[in-house]
Amino acid sequence: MIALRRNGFMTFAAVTTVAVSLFLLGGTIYLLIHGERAMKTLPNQLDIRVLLKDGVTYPQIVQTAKRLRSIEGVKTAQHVPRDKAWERMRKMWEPGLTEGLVNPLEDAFKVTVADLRATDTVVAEIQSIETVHKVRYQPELQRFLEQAIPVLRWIGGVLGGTLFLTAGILIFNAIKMTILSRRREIRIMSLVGASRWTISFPFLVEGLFQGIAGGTLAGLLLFASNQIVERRVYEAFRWLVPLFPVAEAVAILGCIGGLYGLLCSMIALRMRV
Amino acid sequence: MTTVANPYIAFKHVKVEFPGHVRGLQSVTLDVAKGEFVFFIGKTGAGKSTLIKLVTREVHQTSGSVILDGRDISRVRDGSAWSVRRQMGIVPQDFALLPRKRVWENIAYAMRAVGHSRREVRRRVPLILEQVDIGHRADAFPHELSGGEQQRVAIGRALINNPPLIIADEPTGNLDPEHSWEIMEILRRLNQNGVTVLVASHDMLVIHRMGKRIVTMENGMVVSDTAEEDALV
Repeated sequence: MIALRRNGFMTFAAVTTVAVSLFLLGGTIYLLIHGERAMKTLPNQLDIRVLLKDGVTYPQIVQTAKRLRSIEGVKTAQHVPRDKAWERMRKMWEPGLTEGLVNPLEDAFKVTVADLRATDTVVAEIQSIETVHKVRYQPELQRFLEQAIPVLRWIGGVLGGTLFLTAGILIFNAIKMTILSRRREIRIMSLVGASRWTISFPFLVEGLFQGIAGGTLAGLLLFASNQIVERRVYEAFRWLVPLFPVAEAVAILGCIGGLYGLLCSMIALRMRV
Repeated sequence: MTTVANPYIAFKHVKVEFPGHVRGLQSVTLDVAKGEFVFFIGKTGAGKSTLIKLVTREVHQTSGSVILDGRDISRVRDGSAWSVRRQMGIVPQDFALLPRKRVWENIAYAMRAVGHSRREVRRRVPLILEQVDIGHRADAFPHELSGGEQQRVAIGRALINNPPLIIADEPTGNLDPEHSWEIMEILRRLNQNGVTVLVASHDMLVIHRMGKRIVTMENGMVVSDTAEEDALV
């Protein structure tokens, strides 16, 4: 602690470097995780509407459901009865508008695919079913997402990897600077015959502490920025952003920071002592 | 060349080559007896500092061996060099004092670094400071001391392990003649108490006045070795 206080500026530099690096890295990982989750749930949201012909009987609907579920690539096929759909529509509209109207809707199925890339094949097969009248989906959007998702994953991976490496280099440099600023003490200890462990131990503790402090700070920064983004997103789109796991983030980033600080101190010490 | 029957330090055909094929030492063979006081003299780059740094394991030989008190220290790995250094006191040319610590703290810091207890530190620090005549400046910071006083603190620090050997690299290099003589007097006193002293220096005035063994080096070789009795001219 005394050494940390004495080398105040170096400690500050190392802790803030670790904090900024891990904040960027943690933020990227957090975005990537949520991006992945969002991408996984997208196929559920981009469903295919299968409209059945007028006058299909209940056994035919059951048969169609079986056919749909047997198509390769279909994840779910949910029956949407025309009466229920009409009821829902009437509730959404003003009461007078649907007064006296006969239900114009058809029985339908809401189909989701496991993989967006299989949409075209699935649609073609659905269209070949005799009871099917029309298939509605968004081919352009699906095709765009199909191409965008791997690119986004790739960019995320490269960005995350680069930040991880940069964070390591920054922490290593910060610890090396701390060691350089105390090279006289190291030399004296070495001259009087202090063992390598005795010389290294305070630096290892220092690196560990700086890493933990930086990681914790990064976790808190991430929490704060998530709060700001959450509020903005909710105000703008009325979307609920997933709850931020503050305790987990602080614990994980603190541990990563500590281990990184320790590792970088060990490498820096190997080069100096 | 002076050879001793049972040398305390023995350099045997030691060669040192620095990176880029720069020659540090060329097959040096030399013995030092226990309790001797030896000066290594020569121009800058002659190899005198390289030779004494072989004993402190700050420099590694390319070939040959260095024996200290019967132990072949040339085989000691870097990670274990501390065990060799505990057997000696090293006085560097630049004093290497901690500027933010007082005189007594500089000694105490070194003692704590080698594992002495606080109690031992409290007991021995005043004795060490008295031994090098700097007890009256115990509470001063290094920048408040003269060069000679700073060097005395550095010698005091070298005594923390009660070493049988003191190695000093240009201990008077930064001092005026009066302070240089004071430092040499302290080293002579230690030598009279049985400590072997090796000094690399080019302060010819002081060296000749001391009347101790003089090993002259040139281009990494020992070119002359004058015994103590012959040095007293």
